[in-house]
Amino acid sequence: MQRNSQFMERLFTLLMTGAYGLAMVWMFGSHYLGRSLGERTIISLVTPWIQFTILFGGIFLLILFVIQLIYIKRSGHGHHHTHDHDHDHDHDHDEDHGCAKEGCDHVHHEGEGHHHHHEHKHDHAGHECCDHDHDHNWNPIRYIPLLIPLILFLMGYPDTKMIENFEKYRIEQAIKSNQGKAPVATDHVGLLMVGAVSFPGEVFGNTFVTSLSSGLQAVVDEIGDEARDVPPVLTDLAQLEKIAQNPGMMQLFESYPKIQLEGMFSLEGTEGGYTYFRVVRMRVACCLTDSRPAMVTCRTKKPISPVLMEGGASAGSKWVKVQGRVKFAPDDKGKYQPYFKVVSVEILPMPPYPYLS
Amino acid sequence: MLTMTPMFAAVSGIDQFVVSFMSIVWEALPFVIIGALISGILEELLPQKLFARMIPKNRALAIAGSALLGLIFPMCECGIVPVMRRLLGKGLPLGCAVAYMLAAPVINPVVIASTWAAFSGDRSGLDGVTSAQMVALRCGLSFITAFIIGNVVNRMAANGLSSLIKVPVKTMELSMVEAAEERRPWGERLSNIAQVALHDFIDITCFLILGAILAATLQTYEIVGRVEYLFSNPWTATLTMMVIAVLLCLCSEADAFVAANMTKVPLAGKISFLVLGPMFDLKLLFMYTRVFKTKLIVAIVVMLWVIIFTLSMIVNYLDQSARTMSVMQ
Repeated sequence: MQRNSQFMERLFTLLMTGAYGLAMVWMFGSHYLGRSLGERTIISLVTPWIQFTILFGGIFLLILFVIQLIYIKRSGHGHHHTHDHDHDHDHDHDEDHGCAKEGCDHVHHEGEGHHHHHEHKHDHAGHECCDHDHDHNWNPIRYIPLLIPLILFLMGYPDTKMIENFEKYRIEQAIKSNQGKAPVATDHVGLLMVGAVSFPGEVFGNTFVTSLSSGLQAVVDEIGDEARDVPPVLTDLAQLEKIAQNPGMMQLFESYPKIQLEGMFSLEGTEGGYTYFRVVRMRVACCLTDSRPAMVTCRTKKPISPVLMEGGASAGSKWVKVQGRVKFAPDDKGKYQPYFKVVSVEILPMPPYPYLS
Repeated sequence: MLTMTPMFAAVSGIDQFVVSFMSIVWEALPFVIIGALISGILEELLPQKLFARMIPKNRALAIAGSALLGLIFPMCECGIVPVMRRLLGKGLPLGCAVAYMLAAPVINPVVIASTWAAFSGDRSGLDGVTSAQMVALRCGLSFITAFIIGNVVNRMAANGLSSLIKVPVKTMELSMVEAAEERRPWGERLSNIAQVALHDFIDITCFLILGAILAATLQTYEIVGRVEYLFSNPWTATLTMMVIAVLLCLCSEADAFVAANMTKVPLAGKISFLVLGPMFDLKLLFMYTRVFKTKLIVAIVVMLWVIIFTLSMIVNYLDQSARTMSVMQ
């Protein structure tokens, strides 16, 4: 029995190591080799440098796996000796060193002990004696938790859809908590009303004209169009968040005729010939559990591609590049927020790593 | 405006859980592997009798040194109890052994790196700490805690070890064992390194996964969000986080990632969580009973709670006054 359980113990440790090593190398390789654009896999959950630690961690595990495999092959025929030696040993052990460790979580009584008992059994004490439990029963329960991440990985979870849902939930929470603080918000604010509250007309109006007639607006939009040939100033949402804390930078950026940023398109609605939407990006410090959205509210008179419109109000995973002018205005808490007057919206494939740090 | 059907809510809950769980597990796993590998290498190649020779005569100095020993002999808390007990058996003074056991899971290169990683990036909207500040706070507070407790335990040990620990102290046999140990060929050493490393890897990963399940559940059902009202006050936040640290049983290599993600918790709560977690939690309690007698366990646990709570309150006070200063400027 004991021999058998020891064998199982070693076999399972080895199998687990191999499986984890393969999984870690595979999840890195498949993401960067065989993935279609816009698709997200498990490795998208962590920032790029941790993706590399996953690759190297997997390689280390595979090396250890090979070393163990060679070792087990070499000492493979020593099995029948083990039983007696182990038995003797453990008694000595207990009395001489008091190395009782019943409650220790380490139920393994594999390799370490086994090998040394076979060749020179005193070695056992030279190792972590306490890793060895007195109850030699193989405890398969401990392997069940280990299987969960592997099974989920083999099933392909979390897939693109799950990750998108996770992001949507975070974005919705962020929008909801912002709306809760808005002064005019009531329980039954319609979508367009929310749009109106979230994007105060004067922010967009004052940017370019003081008197708002639709004719003038058209002219203003054309003025925007004139800037089409100007090379855009590239920025991103994380940078905009920082700029919004610095008055000098806000002025500078408001003076640029055209700035460009990328992110996920999230439609809000249409009103008065304008389409209101948000460009959203998740900011991730380490992994998706610490993600928080950064967003900018946008307005445009340009027709929006029906591909973008069909997603409705929910934050989607359609990746866009927008160009336009930025205007900063304080929200109800006095914190400056960027607003974007957009002259062009272009659909792009999602980049391999869609998050900002 | 939008009423979620229960069906949709359940599905979205599963998405939440899977994404949280998988990102915590796979993010922490490389660090566990590195830790296991280092532990295997040191286990096999570092002759442990060096410790006995290197213990300074001055006891306070020895305890301070033991608390920093993790820098050259890193161990996460899952692996440290066995090592500590072995050192005890070799004649390392109890105060030193306890100081090493408490501090090494935090003050070691692997955990410093993972704490650094977890708190990297722009945290200006969260708790406003930089990685360097967080690492310094975590290591500093752990050192102070371990040093104080080490000294108190050292006093307690003056009346004899037999009422405190369950380990008979025998030095002779073990040094003979080591002499034999050093004669092994390198091939065998390599396989021993692999064995210790894989053994540690499987053990620790097991607890990591259980911890990740708990943490992902907390995230999905927003249990942390539900006790959110406790986080507004630094006193209750700190106590709540200490309870969470004991219940979550996170590995010291992974807990920084969990703490960094708890966006609503004030700095004092995070630091108490990060200092207490590696020193005492439910799984460690079980491991302690194999080495220490009840009297010593109670003494250590009570001291841990009092010292860490006090230190966290001091951090909170300094943090608040620093913020007030920066607002005034």
